Amino acid sequence: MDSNLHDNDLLRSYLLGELSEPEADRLEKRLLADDELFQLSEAVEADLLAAYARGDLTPTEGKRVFHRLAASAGGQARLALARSLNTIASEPQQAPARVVSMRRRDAPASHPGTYWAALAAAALIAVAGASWFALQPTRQSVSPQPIVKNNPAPVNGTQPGQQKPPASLTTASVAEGPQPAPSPTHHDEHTSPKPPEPLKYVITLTLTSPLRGAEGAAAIEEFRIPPGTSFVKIQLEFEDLEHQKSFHAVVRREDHTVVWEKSGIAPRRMKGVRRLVLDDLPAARLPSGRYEAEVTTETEELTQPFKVIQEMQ
Amino acid sequence: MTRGGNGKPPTKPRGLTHEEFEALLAQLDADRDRAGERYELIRRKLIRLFEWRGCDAAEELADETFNRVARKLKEGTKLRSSDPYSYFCGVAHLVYKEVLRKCSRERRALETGGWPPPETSFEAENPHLECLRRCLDRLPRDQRDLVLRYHQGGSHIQSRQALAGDLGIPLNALRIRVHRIRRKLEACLDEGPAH
Repeated sequence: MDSNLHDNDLLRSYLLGELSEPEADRLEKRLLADDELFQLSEAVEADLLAAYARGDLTPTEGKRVFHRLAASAGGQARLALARSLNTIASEPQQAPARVVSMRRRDAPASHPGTYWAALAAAALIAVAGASWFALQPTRQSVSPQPIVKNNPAPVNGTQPGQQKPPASLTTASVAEGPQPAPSPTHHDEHTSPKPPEPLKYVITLTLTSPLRGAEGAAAIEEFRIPPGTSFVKIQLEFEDLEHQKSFHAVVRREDHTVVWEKSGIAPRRMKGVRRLVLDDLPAARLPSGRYEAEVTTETEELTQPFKVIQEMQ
Repeated sequence: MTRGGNGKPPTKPRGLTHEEFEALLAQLDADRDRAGERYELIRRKLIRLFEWRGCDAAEELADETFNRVARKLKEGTKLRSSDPYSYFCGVAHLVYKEVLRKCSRERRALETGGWPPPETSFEAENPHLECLRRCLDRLPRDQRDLVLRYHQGGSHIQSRQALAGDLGIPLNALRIRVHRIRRKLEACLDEGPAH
């Protein structure tokens, strides 16, 4: 294991151009002769590209990744793959992570089939002793809205045959059907991993123009983030601004501290509604309090206040 | 017909005659298919090494490496019959170092160049994204879940160690396993996923 870790660190340094010439020379000789080490090097490269795409690297590392690993046509393609995998993996409807999502209470359920599936799932889980319920929609290119009903009772969604995940990550979920029990000692490539996964909470806001008066004066929506939540994804929906292709979005606290901000975001269209999907935020960046989401173009502005309550263990 | 690692005939380096190329393959393995696979693997490695050193035209440099190796073989250098592949790699590495010097100026230029900040926003309506979704759908579910799970939650070492622990494999084995899945996705994207 130590040599594994050493090789990983060594390869990372090599790929970032941090090794001395003799060290790089020795490693390259090994890379040519050792197929497995070469595969590991490509894997570490992919990790670096994925981290670069997420903005997880230091400026120095980012510069080196860009110039050394992403400069060629092949590197650009690998970077595009890493970026797209990051994106798809972070989507609640695509990722295998269990997702707790809450829509505005006053918004109509636009996908009744999914809604009833969620209710059915909740009933099943309730029978099993669980008190939270969530819906993990099936993976489809056009996915239904995940709809989850809140229930502040404790969690116990472990399925028979499964190892119980840590309490902080536990949430009941509905999978696509029977799942094989995890087999930690079985190394076959087709083994389905069932490890505990980071809990993600999705906030979906429908933005309205401040000029709309009555709608804008509606009660502020509350979002209760369950304990143990790792990430929060904020989705901003709106039906206006049809002609706009790019938006500036900002989420700020009541004291105007900016929590998240980005320009040049292109919307997705889902079921006739335009949606901006913001980057995953660490849940810790959204402490309890009042917030405002704002989407602006050169000429127009949509806003929506909301309230976050970080629930305690 | 001799096949490379991807099932296609091996790519003859530019600058080598057919006879020289055949002699090169013959040195790598008595079995021509196996020789083709080994040749393609070494060529791929050389290309990647040149890329990792920040060299432009990595394929041309890899071809030049093979040309020089072929010349050395023509001059009488014999590969050890007990392990021709390893010996070839050794010769290739020596030649690689010679060729590498050619791109040293480019490498120095890299240190002073600017670079764009990473784009981390969601790529809406990105055709690449849709192609990737289709390719992911073609994977066995366990592989699809594994690669997506691996890319979830950032690059936190703890989450990947937990994933490796759940699979009962070392972390580097997990990295390689996920990398093999990514290679499948790359191949799918190259050929264009079925619609």
